[in-house]
Amino acid sequence: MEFLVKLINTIVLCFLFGSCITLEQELEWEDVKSDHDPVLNIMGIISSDTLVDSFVRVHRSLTMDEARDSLVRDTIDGVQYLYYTPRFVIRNANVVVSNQVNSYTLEYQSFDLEDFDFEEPELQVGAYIYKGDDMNPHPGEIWTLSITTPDGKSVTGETVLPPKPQINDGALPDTFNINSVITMKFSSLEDNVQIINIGNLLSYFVPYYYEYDSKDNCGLTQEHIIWQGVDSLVYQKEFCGDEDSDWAEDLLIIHMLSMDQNYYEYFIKYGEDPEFSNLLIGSGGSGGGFGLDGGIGFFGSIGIDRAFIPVMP
Amino acid sequence: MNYIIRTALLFTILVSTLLSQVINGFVRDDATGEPLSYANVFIKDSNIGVASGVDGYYALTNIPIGERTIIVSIIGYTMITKDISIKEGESLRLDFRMSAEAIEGQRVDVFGEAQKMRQLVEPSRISLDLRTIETAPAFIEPDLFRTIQMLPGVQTINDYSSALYVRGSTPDQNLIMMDGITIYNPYHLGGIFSTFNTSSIKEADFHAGGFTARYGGRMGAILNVVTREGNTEKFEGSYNVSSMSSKVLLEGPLPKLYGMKGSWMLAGRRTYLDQFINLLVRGDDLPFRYYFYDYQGKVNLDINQDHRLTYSRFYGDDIVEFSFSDTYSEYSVVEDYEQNEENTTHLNWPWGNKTNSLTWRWLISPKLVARTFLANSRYRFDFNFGLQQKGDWREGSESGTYNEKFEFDFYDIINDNTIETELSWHGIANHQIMGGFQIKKVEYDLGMDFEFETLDTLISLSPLSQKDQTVESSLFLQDKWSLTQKIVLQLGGRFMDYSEHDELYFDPRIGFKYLAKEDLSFKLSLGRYHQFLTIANPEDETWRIIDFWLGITEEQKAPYSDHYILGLEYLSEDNWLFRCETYYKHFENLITLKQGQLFTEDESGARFTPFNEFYPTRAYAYGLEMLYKKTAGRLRGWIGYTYAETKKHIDKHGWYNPKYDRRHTLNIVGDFRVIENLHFSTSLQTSSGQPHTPAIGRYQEWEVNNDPYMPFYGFTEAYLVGKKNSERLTPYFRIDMGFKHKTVGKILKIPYERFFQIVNVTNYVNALNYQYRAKVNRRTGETLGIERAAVPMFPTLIAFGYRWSF
Repeated sequence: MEFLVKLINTIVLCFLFGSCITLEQELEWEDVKSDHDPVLNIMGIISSDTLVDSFVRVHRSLTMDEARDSLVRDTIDGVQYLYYTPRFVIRNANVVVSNQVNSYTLEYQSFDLEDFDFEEPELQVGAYIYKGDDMNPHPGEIWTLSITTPDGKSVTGETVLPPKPQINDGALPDTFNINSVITMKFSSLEDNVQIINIGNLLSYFVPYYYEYDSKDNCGLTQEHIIWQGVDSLVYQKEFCGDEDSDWAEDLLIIHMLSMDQNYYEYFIKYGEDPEFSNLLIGSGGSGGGFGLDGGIGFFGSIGIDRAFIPVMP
Repeated sequence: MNYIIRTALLFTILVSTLLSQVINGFVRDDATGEPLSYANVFIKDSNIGVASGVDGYYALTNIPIGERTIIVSIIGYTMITKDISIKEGESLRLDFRMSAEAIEGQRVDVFGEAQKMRQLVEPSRISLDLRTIETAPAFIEPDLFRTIQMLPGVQTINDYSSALYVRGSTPDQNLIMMDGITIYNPYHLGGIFSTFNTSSIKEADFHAGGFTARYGGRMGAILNVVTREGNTEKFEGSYNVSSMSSKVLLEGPLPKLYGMKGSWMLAGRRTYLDQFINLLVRGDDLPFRYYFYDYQGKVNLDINQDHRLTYSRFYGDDIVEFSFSDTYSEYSVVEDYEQNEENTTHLNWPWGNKTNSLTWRWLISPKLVARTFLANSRYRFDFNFGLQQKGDWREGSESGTYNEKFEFDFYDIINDNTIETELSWHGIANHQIMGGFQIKKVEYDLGMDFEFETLDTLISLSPLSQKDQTVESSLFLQDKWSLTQKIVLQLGGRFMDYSEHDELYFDPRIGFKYLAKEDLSFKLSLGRYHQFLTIANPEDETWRIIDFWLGITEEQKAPYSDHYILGLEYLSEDNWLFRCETYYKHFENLITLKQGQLFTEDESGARFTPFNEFYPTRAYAYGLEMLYKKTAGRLRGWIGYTYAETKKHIDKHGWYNPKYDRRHTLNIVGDFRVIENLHFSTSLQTSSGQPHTPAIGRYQEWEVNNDPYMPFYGFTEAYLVGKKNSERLTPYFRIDMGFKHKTVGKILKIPYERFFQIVNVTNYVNALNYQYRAKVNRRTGETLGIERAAVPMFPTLIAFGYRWSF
């Protein structure tokens, strides 16, 4: 026992002036298996705007143990291309939209290999669009979606097109400068939310962050949600660092978008109420299906109106 | 006529109780003057006996007149026997000073446990003295909460937290008190340590459920930590240094003045992990600036033998702070340009508790004791971050200066002011009646401020500002009625008024005990427990550093829980206590924070509302607990097993098991005296895996960039998660060991103790959660499936230190 006491004394003395000692634990990585049956993941938008095409993206969820991308070898005009393409894109689905009078079959529009950006292959995903010119959605119409895939999965959806926004151009000033305060007027919608995005053309092409020697018009780009029943917005440049930056002639773009309930719930309401939140995984959930039956994602519709005001120094 | 008869009867009872024979007084440790609780005080050859209370007070009533022998005994102390003579209507004040004795294991020494078993009606109650707290091997230093976590019915969420999850109740549902003062965030280092310095603890009274009407305002468990009073005989102290912190304890008597006497105690500790790490990390590396400290003091003043005043104060803070600056200069002769700039960054983040209390104890009569208590408890955290960039420039003939400052402040303050009075009355034979009132005013202040300043502009924003004030007023009454020698009934009730609600709440509390034999008892407890405050922390958070306390609003219903507990206790002749309990609890009107919802946008605009949106929730919990405990002898410790389940319900998820649900839990704790002054301690903790929400797939979350030129639609990768908490992590397993050796220094002859501890001896990987990553083919760069690894809790940790006494 005396030996034991001396041994303990020695050990404690040896460690006394050191810090707390730990032994490292080696992480053991293991494959994750799940019995998840992939579901169709849809983004479908019917647009009543002539400049924005209606489209549908058809993806599927991936299990935890399957590869994300497939390696593709393609030869076009004697040039061999080797690239990865995402597995989650479904390119051979049957996608049909209908306004209950006519039906329109959308075709998969792939990317052009010659324009392919090998640095960011995940951006080169296609969508289903209508290649004809007789599809003209109008506000108030009910549009339905039907998707079937060769492996037997199917999704249906429905959306009611919102009224088209109407910016009161006559109430806008002829020009805009740094100190201007504008009261924008537009038609209020009783049942739909709208979003107004304002920005100057220069800031679209010039980085948004503040620099001493830049000529960007910092603080002009803003987004506001316009709730049901609201018919005006007071707009002025927001504070953005040094106010003495030079001004150039520019164009202030006012972009107003109306959305149906599905679009609103997916992009605005759903994002605020994640089913699950964890530091390690992040937010997530079951994906959510809005305006859809049989899949996740959403099938919504939009309308757009635009106005422009010249910006003067 | 009836009125006259009733009044006469009442007067007769009153006079008879006042005139009956009473012996009362205090039982204290002779060496230190500390009160001894659960000392057995009884009249020889009679059924008259009682256990001393937490403050050492006892009162024996209805003593038969004549020559009697009074006996006082408690484990670890020499028994006292005293012959007395009692006359009719006499009250005798007898204070006892007991001397500690070294002999353990004798039958007479287990009277402490036997007394508790005989006297306590409510099940699920455990008193822990310092020796019990120090039984289990500890991480760096003994910790009260970590010891309690090894008791049946108590769960831990992970190694980094000492928070208590008791029988399905969350930490905010437990009332944690120090000398009766509520402590709102009783943790240091995010929960790795509790805020209680064990050097200053006399004992801790823990009720896992079924507590009496005396306590209210919480649905789960009660923990009241009673601190030492201070040595009334001489000045003494101890100093403890370990690899992480130092502790000091000083105590002594007050100078006697005008016949008044008393004692004082002062304890403090500070970590120096920041100093240690900064010594090892040199150069330009960012200094490590985290430390915590706390101190507490207590002063007791006996004005006379019937009046005592006690002042108690606690202050503790965790602090993260750093500040650094750098300068920048640029000069160009060719361009005739120069610039000088200084950038400063600072972070200051204290969080902690401050309490003050004043208690007046008045022995109105031998059978009537009053205790009045005034207390303030404040918890706050204040996260302050700032950046400053200032400088000057010159270009040709032009020049200028600039100074930009950004400040961010996020704070939460809870301020609790309480006044309460308790009366304990032993006036009626076989009844111990207690009643009182409490008024608690709580102020909440939660806010966030931004400030941006330049030479000519100042912008201030306060996106979050929630202030509230609530008042809880309570009235309670309880009676512990010994129906027979074997049957005790404890009936009580608590009336509560909450300032935000119009209704008056009533919580009944019923306790029943049947003493089948001297060493075997059965207990039953039923009760309702309301609560008027909650915390707004995310339910799925992995590590909680601070709590966000909020009062229940006018619109929300008051949460409550009903407890049903049945138990038995058996004390064997060789000092083993066996306890078996089963319980069922259900919870109504709970609320669970909607996670991730930082902003709410509606007709009034966008508001920062991280703590405003809740899901209505209900829950239930049930379980079976067994405890085998040995408190005396060369080997001490306990074995605890729990089978339990907790389920919560939110409409969005349905019924699910929360993170703290464990089906099976086994804890074995032992302290073995190898030789005199050398102790070996060990603990084994194992439990079923913790529920977690699994990632079951991958998908794309659609995104939109509402660019004014053209909306752009894209996506980000996300994990598809399964049903909430539908899978379990790997089972938890950990073995800790430690040695403690007491000796006397050869040079200065100062007694000291050295200790050596190993946490997680087997280096078993206990999973905190899973982390995920894409599996990549290293040859081709192809992204394959997903793999995961456990985020580990404590690895093997070795700690050591010294403790000196003087």
